[in-house]
Amino acid sequence: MTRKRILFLVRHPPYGSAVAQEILDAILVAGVFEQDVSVLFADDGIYQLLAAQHGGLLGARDVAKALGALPAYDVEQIYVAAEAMRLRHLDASDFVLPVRVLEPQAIADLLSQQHTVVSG
Amino acid sequence: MQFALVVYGAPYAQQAPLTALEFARTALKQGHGVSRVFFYLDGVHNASALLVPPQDERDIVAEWVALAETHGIELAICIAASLKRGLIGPDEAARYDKPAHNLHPAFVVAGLGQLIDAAMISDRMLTFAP
Repeated sequence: MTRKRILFLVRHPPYGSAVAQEILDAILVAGVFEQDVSVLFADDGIYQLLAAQHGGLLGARDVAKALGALPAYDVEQIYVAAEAMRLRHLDASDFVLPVRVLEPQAIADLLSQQHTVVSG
Repeated sequence: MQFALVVYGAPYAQQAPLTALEFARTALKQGHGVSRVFFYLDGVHNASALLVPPQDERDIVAEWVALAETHGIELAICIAASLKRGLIGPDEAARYDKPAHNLHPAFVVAGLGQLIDAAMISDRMLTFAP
C-alpha cells in the first residue's frame, strides 16, 4: 500500500466538546499507520496548542499534553494558520509544539498536495 | 471514483447523517463506488438498533442498512467512540458485564485503523461533521 498524504484540519477549541480529543486519537493512529501525516490548526483549533491550559480542572484530559506526544508518533508536520493567530493575538511561543505558520496562499498549496483532508 | 465517508453527527440531532446518505445515494447513482462509511464521534449513534423515529420522519438507521445491503457498503463504527457512548454489541455487553446491547447487526465494530485504512483504499474520503 502506498503512503498517502493525510492532513487533519483542526478547527475546534480544545474543550466544550469531544471533537478535539477524538480527532487527536485519529491523528495518532494515522501516525502509527506510517502515512505522511500533517496537521493544520486553524480558527479556534489553535487554542488546542496553548501550553498554558489545564483541562484537568474541567474533568477532561489535557489536550496540550496529548498534543505533545505527536512527534513520538512520527507526526511532525504541524502547521498553524497565520490569520487565526493574528485574530486571537497569539504567538508561536505560546504553543506547546514547534509549528510552521502559514499564510493563506501557503495553506492553499498545502491542501492541494494532500490525498485526503480529514476535518476535525 | 471510490469514496469513503466519515460521519461525525448523530441522527435526529445533526444534519450530517442525512447529508452523508444523500451524497452516497447520488454518488452511487452517478456510477461511483462507496467502499466504507465510518461512524465516529457522535456519529456512532447511527448504529443503534433501538431508535424509534416518529412515523412522519425518516428512519435513518434503516436507510443506512438498506443502502449498505444493496450496494455492499461496509458500515463501521469506532469501538472506542461507541463503547463510551453506550453503543455496544452482544460481545462487548458480555465482556463488560452490561445488562443489554443495542448495536444494529448491520454495523461492524472497528478500530480507528479502519478510518485511516478508508483513506488509503479510497480515491476520496469525505467527512460529514455537524
